[in-house]
Amino acid sequence: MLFDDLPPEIHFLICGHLPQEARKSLVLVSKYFCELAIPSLYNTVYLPTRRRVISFQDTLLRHPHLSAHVRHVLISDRNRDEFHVVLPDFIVYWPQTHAERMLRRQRIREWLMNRDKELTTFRTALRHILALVSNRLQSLTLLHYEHSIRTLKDLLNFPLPNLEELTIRGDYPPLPRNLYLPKLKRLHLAAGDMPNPWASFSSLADGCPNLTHLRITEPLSCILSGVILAQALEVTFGMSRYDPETLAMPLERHTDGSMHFAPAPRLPPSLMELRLQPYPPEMSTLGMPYPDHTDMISRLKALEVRNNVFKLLPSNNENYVLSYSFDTAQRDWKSRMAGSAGCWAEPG
Amino acid sequence: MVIIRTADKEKFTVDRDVAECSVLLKNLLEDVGENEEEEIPVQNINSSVFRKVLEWCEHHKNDPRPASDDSAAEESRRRTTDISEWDQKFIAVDQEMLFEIILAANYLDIKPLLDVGCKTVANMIKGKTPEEIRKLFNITNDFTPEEEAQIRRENEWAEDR
Repeated sequence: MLFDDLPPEIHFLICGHLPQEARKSLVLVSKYFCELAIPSLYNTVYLPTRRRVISFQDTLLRHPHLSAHVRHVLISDRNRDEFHVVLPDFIVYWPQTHAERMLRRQRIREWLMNRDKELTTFRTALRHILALVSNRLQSLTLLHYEHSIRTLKDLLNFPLPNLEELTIRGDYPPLPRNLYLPKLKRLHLAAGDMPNPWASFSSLADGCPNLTHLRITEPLSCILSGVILAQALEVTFGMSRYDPETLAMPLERHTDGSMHFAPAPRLPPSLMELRLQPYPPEMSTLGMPYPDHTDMISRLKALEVRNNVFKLLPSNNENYVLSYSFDTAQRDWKSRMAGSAGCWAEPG
Repeated sequence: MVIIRTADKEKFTVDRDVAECSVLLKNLLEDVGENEEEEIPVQNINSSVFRKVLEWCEHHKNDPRPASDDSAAEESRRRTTDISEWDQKFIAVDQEMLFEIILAANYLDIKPLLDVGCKTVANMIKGKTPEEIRKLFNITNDFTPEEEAQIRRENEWAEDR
């Protein structure tokens, strides 16, 4: 009895237990294993760097039929393994002579142009990939560390009729009014938000009728307007009076042309859990958290006690590197792909 | 107790709850009813492999059986890469026996054992180059150098770099 003698259905099962890199090796073993492993290789796609995103786009554009296999995708805009954009030496170094300064200015201009070109190539690749795979996608993780995803305004307008899980890291695009993610069960928004994120809760309520879990990790509003964030959540859960001006809710236009404030934020009735992980507190010179942070936390804790949907997660005080760092994000994704809880694990 | 006869005509007297780890045997036993005299033949499995499978069933007879309609739980179990310590020791056999156990688990419909076997083979493949996989399983490379280069190029996106 040799490996070759096992029937194809067993080979296929074995392939299902392999990580992406090993599936790729199996594809190169022989024609039989190539045909067998291609569906598994393209089922779960891990693209941790821009270069790999572009390479995947090239392959899909050459062989669009492969997109039919894609069900789970992680895409990150990182350039290699760095956490932040690494500035070249000539930007940091201040030259002594006028000629050197002129040269530096020229080099910075070229560097910015190249960077912009690279990011445009990445965004185009992301669009091409989503246009080909969105219809069958079951989970999507978009991790943005270098540029704002807001530039991709219509990202969530791609048809995503089968999407069950979505994670977005970075400032997310305003959730469109006609958002329609009929099967979405779990939504994780990390390290970013929109000018008034709670205003878009209503889009979720209307467009995601099956949403059961929402996690918001380290939203910027925790730092910039923590007390308002707490109030927005209190209003959302009907525990505080709705005052659109305090929440800076957007104005909407009636059909007769008159303007009115958007209605109070609300969440889908299907929602079973809303988890919020705030930023670690910024400390004053006295080594104490600022009062607005303390106020926000105490109001959120009170909300947690009075409401069984809302859960306050402990902040990343000790291990803080970067808000929802790539390390954490990819660990969560791999855990989820292996059938574990990932970012939905109970804290502690 | 039930009597099971393997392909090489050896008879095994087995506790009913051990035999029922196999969905195939469970269904056959339901057809047979309480008639303990009736032998149940398993055509495709030899005694040496069946003995090994029974050892696994004996150890796992009290495990909760996966409900046939609970596809989410099954999917989760299937996707978890861990193999318990006992199962790792159990499955530390030569390649031929490993493949025989996988085939037997498939035939007898013992999904958790089938998973242990498939995960073990997957672990043997992990971290190996295509050439090393060919060598490990004695597989002939039927690609031309051009075909191989093209497939490598098309799947570059999956390479850790």
